[in-house]
Amino acid sequence: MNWFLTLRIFLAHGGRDFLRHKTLSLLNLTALAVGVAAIVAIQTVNETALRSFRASLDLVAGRPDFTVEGQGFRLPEKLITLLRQDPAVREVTPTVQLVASLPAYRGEFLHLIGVDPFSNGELVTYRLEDALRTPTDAIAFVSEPNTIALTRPLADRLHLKPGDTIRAISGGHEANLRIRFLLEPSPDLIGADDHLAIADIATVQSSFGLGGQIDRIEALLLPDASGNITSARTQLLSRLTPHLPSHARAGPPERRGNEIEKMLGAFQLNLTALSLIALVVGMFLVTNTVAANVVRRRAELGLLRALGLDRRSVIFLLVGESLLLAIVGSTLGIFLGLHVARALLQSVSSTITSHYVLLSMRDIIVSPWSLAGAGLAGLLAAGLAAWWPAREASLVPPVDALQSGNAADRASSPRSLAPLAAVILFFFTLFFSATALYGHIPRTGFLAALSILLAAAFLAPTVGRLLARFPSLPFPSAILARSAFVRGLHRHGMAAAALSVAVAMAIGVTIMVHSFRATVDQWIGENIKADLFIAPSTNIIAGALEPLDPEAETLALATPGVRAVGSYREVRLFLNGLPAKLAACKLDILRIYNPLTFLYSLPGDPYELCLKGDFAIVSENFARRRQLKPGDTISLPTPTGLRPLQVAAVFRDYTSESGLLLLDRSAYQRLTGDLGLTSLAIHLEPGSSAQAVGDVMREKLRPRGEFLIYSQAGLREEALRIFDRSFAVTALLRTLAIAVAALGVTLSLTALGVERTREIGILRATGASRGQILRTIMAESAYLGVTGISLGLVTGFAVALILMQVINRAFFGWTIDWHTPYPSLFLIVVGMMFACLLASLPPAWRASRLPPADALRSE
Amino acid sequence: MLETRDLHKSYQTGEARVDALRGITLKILPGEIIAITGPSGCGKSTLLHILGALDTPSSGQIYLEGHPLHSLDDDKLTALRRLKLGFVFQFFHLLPTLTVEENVLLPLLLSGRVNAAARERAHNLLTSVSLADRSHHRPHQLSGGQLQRAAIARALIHQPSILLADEPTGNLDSASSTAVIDLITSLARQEKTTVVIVTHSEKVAAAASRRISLVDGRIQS
Ligand SMILES: Nc1ncnc2c1ncn2[C@@H]1O[C@H](COP(=O)(O)OP(=O)(O)OP(=O)(O)O)[C@@H](O)[C@H]1O
Ligand SMILES: [Mg+2]
Repeated sequence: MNWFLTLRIFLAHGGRDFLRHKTLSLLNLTALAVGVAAIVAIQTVNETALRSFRASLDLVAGRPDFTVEGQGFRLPEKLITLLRQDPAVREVTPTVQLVASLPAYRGEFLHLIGVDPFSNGELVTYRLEDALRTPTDAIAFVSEPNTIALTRPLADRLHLKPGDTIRAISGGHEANLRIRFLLEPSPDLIGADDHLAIADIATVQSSFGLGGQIDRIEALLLPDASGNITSARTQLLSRLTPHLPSHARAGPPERRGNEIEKMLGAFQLNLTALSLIALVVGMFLVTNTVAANVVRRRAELGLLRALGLDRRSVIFLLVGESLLLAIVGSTLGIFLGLHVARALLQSVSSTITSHYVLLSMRDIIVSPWSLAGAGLAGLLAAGLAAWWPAREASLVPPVDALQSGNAADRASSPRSLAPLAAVILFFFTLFFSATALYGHIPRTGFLAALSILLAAAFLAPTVGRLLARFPSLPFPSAILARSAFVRGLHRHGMAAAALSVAVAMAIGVTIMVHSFRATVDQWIGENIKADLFIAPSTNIIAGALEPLDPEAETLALATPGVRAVGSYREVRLFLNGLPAKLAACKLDILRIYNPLTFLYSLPGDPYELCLKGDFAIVSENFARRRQLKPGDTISLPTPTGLRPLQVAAVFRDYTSESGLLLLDRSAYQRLTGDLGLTSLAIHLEPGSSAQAVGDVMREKLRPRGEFLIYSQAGLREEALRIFDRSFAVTALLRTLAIAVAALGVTLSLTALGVERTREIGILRATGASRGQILRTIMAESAYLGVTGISLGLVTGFAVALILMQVINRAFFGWTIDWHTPYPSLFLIVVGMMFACLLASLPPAWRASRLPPADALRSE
Repeated sequence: MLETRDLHKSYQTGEARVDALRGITLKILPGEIIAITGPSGCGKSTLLHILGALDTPSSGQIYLEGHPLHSLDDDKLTALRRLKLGFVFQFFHLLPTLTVEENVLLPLLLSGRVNAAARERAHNLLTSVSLADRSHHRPHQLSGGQLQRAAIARALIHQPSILLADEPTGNLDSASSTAVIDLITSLARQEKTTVVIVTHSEKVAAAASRRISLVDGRIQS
């Protein structure tokens, strides 16, 4: 073939076609851009969250060869000497960290890290490099008491400058800290939290009552002859292990990388699921756009073929043109997507912080790879979408393509295969559900969800055809719309498919979130019995688990009207390689004032067992994820050694995503030596008012720092607020998917309107009024809407089932009771139908306004 | 029955202005069969579209049975097309989404007048254009001549006073052309319909009762 000639035709012909059909071309471009934007936005948010999270960890962890850290509890300082004396070790430096509230600045806090500016020599990371440029700086840091370094963004926000002092409170200890340096964020740690503050380790220990305790030790090792440190590390580990407390975790720092994903758990899951949906809906849009464009131009291709263009050139021409369109569309989409991502960031950031770890994201982190990926997805979709009809078009004998009649009506559709594909995908759904639930490959749960969505997509044309079997309403526009809809399925099929995927996902997620919320709400009502709750503000604001001022418990017990005080201690740790929460409370108070809902238990009273011996109560999700039942034993790593605990009972709980291991307070203190508290639950005398007691407590606690005091209703509200906030992203993205689908409908109808200009001319010539044309096209959109929405509604229930019974179970092990949110579903269905009709309005209006003579003249 | 006075039509496309019609005055009587001929681009289709209430003149008057088409709004023009006018186009112009029978019934469907009698009439018309056995086919399953015969049946289903045809044989072989023209003339006589045919064919023009030649937007006498 003559490539040069083809290229010239391609550029001249394609370009002019684009300009001639301006509306259509712009719509196609928009659709492509929106499809790619949806992918980019979600990818970027996901990426930003992960990278920020990693950066925060790097910041704390440095980049050593070897680390020792305490999980749940701090480490004794003497380990430093142990490490320092080891022959394999070159450098050792300790850190201690805590979160302190700043009473003068409501809602703000410091993430204070104590470092040793002398021993960290080569382990110097960003934090000291910028703060301590000269040895004198380091000396000032250590010699001047209570000196700290603050990040510049935080200092700016709080209007602080070097030389100023701030009061910080943590765990009942308070300190006046003097700002001596400002930290500049370095480029490799963009996204790290700006609440970071650095001080000398001794400052932190003495000011906050942590004498002799450290959080982690970082070490650099001496490489062997070949410059390798792997063997040094292994040897060090084997020498060290006998001397380490059982809750210490030692090893290469890379291990943390894997734990990140586990810790971000549900959030990641949420975004992954949504990005898959965005990908599917986006790809649909792109495919639909390109394929329809090719179908529309079959007649022209016939002409080109008749004029001597060979088959391969036809394919080249069409695919090339689509790719060109896709390049422009993808580029626009990437910009659009980044804007959307920026808009989404705030809600994502607060979600993670309120659930998992301290994280503040100020700006998106753009990864060229994910952008390239999204762009490539757009191009790939466009290329494939163009290739199939292009090949088909190239196979049609020129005469056929040239013959009169709407070319699209002659295009054969591979419809007979679609229902079969749907059936196969349905079996995939079952298969992947089974592997997720019983094969212990939780991730396949997503494939199950994806399969069912694709199955629905493949069924769309069939459902459309079935719908058209019913006699239409006896109005001329309805009759015309019905036949036009069936004949327009080459376009409508895809639009209906995208619509059904969007609706199914919206409905599935809505049912899941609603059911989950209702379950949690009900559970709170039945299981949270205390009248007042008190916790350090940092734990709520920053997601920390800082100890409560011990004085709070004494004050509470001394307050008139208080009948009993339940105290809670919570720490986070890894158990059997999975994150978990270890909690302790006074079970004798709990059993009377706030009994738990047991699902299974050993014979006898679980509370008694726990009060007397080494027994624990575990939450349902904790048990399910570790396949535990009452009577099984768990090894709990504590500062005093590995302690075997027998599971006395499994109870229902929704307070922790990672699962809860609950001990009696005295057993906990005996096993761990940790006397701290995290929060208080206050039960009142009958007749005394929670409001009044709360006010008294607030007054008493005011000088002791920032506390949050909730009533029962307040706690419920707070819990549901956090719940809602964590699903805020979901809601936003759901809206995005629906908007994309609605755009698909407009696009489909506009394109058909353009394709059918001449038919509209005939209709007008035979006496159709403007109103009839308008109504016909709107009715056609209604057919499209009913097809997509009804299919989406049914699929949505299946998606909800998979989300709750497969994905949730496999990943989290929660029980979510099914609650159908009829009003919301009704709103989605009616809203989508309305959106379809609204989407049809511009193309319908345009068609009805066409002057009949012009319409007839169009080719 | 149909009368025009000094019709002008010009198109403005960007800078260029095309005067498609430059003063057409004519009178068409009931039952006449008029052939409009002339070289390509002389304004035949434009005139036909204005006569058929599909387009409005830039200036001049046109009366269809006393209705001033030049000053009516779109709704009124639509109503007139529905009741009094039938069209046949060069490219068959059937709706591909409907069957042949539905296409024929289309004018009645649009005015909500489809009933047993209408179906009966559609069947009769399809029989007289020899397409009775094809009534449930779709347009793309028919040949060019068959399509054009179906279009004629559609143009006559609602018993219009005037049938307008724009090069109805332009796309057909001579045998089919003859058949189509015979059909139009015989059916028109039978139904007492006035016919205006735009054509390039001498044979067709000869079959007409009167002939109007257009040159450059004017009638050549
Ligand atoms: N929408 C339009 N915009 C601009 N010019 C137009 C338009 N429609 C028609 N014309 C011009 O008006 C003139 C008359 O066109 P018309 O279609 O009436 O010619 P015709 O006699 O029917 O020709 P043919 O025999 O080729 O069909 C032509 O010069 C044409 O280019
Ligand atoms: Mg013409």
